[in-house]
Amino acid sequence: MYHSFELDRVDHRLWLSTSQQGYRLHLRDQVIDPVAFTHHSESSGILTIAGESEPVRFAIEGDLIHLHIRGRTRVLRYNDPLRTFAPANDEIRPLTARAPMPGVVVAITVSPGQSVSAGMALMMVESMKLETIIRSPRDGIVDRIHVEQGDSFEHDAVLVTLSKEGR
Amino acid sequence: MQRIDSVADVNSQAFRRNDFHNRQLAAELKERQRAARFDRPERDFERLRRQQKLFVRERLAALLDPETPFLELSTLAANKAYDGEVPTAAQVVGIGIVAGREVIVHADDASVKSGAWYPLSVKKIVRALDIAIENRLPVIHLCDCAGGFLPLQAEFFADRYHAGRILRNQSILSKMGVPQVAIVMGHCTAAGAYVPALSEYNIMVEGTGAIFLGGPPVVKAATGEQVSAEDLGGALMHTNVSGTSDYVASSEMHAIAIARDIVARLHQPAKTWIDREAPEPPAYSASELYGIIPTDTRAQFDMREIIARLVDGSRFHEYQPRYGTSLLCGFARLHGYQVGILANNGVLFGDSSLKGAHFIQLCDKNRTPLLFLQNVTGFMVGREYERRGITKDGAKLIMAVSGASVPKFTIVCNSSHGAGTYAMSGRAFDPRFVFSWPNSQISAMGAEQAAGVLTHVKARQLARAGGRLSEQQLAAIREPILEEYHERSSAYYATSEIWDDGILDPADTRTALAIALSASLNTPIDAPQYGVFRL
Repeated sequence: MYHSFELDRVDHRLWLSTSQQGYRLHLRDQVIDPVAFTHHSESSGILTIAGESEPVRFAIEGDLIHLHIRGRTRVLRYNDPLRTFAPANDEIRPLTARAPMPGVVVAITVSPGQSVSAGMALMMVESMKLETIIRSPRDGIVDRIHVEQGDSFEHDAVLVTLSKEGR
Repeated sequence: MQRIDSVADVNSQAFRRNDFHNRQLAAELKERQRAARFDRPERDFERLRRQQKLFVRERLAALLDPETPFLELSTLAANKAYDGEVPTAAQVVGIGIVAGREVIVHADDASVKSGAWYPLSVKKIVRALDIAIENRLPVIHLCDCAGGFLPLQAEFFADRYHAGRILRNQSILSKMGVPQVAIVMGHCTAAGAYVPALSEYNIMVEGTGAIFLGGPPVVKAATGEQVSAEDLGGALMHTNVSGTSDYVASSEMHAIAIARDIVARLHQPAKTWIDREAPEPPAYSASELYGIIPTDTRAQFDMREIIARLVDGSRFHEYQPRYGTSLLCGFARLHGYQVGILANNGVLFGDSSLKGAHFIQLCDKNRTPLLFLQNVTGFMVGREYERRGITKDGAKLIMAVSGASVPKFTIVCNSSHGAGTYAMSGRAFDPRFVFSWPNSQISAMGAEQAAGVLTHVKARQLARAGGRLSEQQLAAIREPILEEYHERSSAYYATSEIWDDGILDPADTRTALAIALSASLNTPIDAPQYGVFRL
């Protein structure tokens, strides 16, 4: 599986393999050999591509790489395959919020018809002397709330049902 | 170490004749391998597309690190079985690099009979897991199997090395601390259901992946319950409810990305240390091997010419160069690793057996892996040799081969017959890997001798009854025996039955051995210990 970097909204699939003088860069059908890098400081160094050396400065910010080379600044984004290939929508997340353990409803913070996003608080429950927030498993619209304040419920009981947006 | 001076005349007529012949054999091998890997009826590819499944070769390309070698094993398994309808035995097995780790991959090929397990498929999977156990290689299973091919169940179900052995080997691997990662890309039914379940990690592809002991039709027949495959054993059920599976993936590529992420964080134990120097290419080109290997397996040639084209700098430290000369013994380096080579330069005699047994013990004490280059018609026969104890000398060699603790590797270079096959570390003696060259022949006896012996036996039976065989009758007995022998002693038959781990183009042997040697060093080498040598 090749690495994937985004530059100016274009996806580039590439791979570095070891060669006798350092690395070989595989870029689509192209092979650039040798490729090497010498650090000068934490944010600068000399990049050698097929025999030509260029001073570069860079800053890494999570998956973003700001690179200053040949008088221009480019922004590269590393596309983690785990994220790239993960479902683009919430398809595999359930449409229900269930009780993680038996307990009692303390407060409900949403109402039917309200649009919610994944991770948003739906209600607070109390169980085993602990107050727990029940959060939305995905983006959607609150379809039904199955309990009222003060109600008790069993483990795995459906507390809130969501519907997909735009239905 | 001294360089071997090749005396092969690359301009001679014999060299050019051999070269032409062996290049043809290599080209034929490559073509047969290509066909086994990729030639499928269009309807099978269509079915995969309809099911939104990738072809097994695409799955493999995505799984492996780009630009790294993949040593595919037993590509031509089952090429002589089932009327040739089950190419590669519907399994892909090989050693490769995933996220920087050396692993062995086992993948069902759903483009062949929906990935159904035939007897030779089971044999190939069991062998893959034996390799994993012997060389402590993590396993990646790409599961997409329709279940066992039931009409042939008697040949793969109940016996010791049948399908149960797959699950047993998986459990033993886990016990040894060698992890397995399974991706469920199709249905895993019955025994196949345990393959992901017995893996340390498993990932299911939503929509296409399913695990169940009995599929919907079996459930319907057994209890009358009507249930969909997704509901019965789909990815969401197994990751949310049963806990049989660990991760759900939205696509095959997603599943492969998860698997690579898991492999990247597996513990990587240090390899066994053996003597190693900087690698050096051989002084003679590997492609000259084509001119050395004779066109007729019965023709003799000097194994030094082969060694010169396999080992680093063509350097060979020959041990006892003047004693037991029909068995060549000596030290060389392969990609820097020191190896002890035993190579046949003729039939095995008492002295060559003693030399071989002694050399194996030297290598074992010295922690030097052994490489056997076979070209052997057997041990010398006759009154004089029996009186001098050829059998007990052969027993010493077999005792040494069996007992050696260092890894062994065997190449069937040309002929491999009789007890010679055994004494030169044949399959039964657990070499870590066995590879054959396309020209090679393997059988209990050479075809000509076997036909001679069998015809002789038949003639004697008739003579006792007072009859006599005419020349024509003798030929009628001889011809079919010869034909059957030729067919069943060919490298293609041997590899079809998985007596080896694959046929190699001779020019690729050095690279294949380097990968095998590197893999073998994942296992610590036991202290030398032997049985009783008959002295």
